[in-house]
Amino acid sequence: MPGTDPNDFRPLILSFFTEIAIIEHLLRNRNDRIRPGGMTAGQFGVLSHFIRTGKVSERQSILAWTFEDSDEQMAAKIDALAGRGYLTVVPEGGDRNIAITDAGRGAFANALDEISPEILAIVEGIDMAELQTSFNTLREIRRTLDNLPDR
Amino acid sequence: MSDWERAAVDMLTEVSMLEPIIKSLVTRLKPESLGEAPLSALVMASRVGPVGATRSALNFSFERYGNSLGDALDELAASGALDRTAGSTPDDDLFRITDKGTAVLDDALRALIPAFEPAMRDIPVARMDETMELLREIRRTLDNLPE
Repeated sequence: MPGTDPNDFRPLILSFFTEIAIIEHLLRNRNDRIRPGGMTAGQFGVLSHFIRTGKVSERQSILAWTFEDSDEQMAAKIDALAGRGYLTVVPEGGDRNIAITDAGRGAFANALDEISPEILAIVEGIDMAELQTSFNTLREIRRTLDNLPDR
Repeated sequence: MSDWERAAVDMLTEVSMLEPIIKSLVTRLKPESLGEAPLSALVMASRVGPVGATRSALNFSFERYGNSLGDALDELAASGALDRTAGSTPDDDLFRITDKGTAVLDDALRALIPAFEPAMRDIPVARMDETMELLREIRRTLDNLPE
């Protein structure tokens, strides 16, 4: 925030991180209990990445970086989704090229329908403009953190 | 999907993407500081406060880390960052954050300032306040949703 002493960020950072960590934890627990389309939150997140970015394919190493997963964690998610026909996997050098299938897109849409009542319950009563503003703020912060030199 | 649902999904997706980035930043920016599992354990313990949380509850919450959270809880207890009250079984052991644990958590999060300063520098105070209030509102709603 313009003109703010960086040391004044401490309470804000603590609050910000705490809220983010707790919301993520609560969302993941609920998602893993509901298991929309039989998927874990992590698997759903991989399909969501393709839908959200509009990408048809992505390297596994990039997906692991994006989600801050180890190679093994991401490989497990991908293999589970590929086993259900939602992704295709093509070895490429020491990496793998991952592509979403039509079945994967359909599975994501169905899963979203399944959790839609849950999502709407979470944001019920929240002004659309506030939601959009906050989304933009979080995305700005994430993109800056994503582009840190050692990220 | 309606615009409303899209906005909600986008918002919650950003939260889900930010969390692991922030946690890994702590590890990268301050190598002698907490690893991801101990940091998660302290954040959760800080949140539940004096009530504490059992080992099984904490493990369930952070099962993505497998056994490492179990080790983290015992290591934090041994260092005095958590207070452990033995239960009838190890799963029932109750963990509460101590003053030392709060200081350790605060110290680890302080390492984030150099990274967050550029991320937040250009965001107007009013917009950040609005975002924080919305995050708190979402968290309170999630806390009160039926299981």
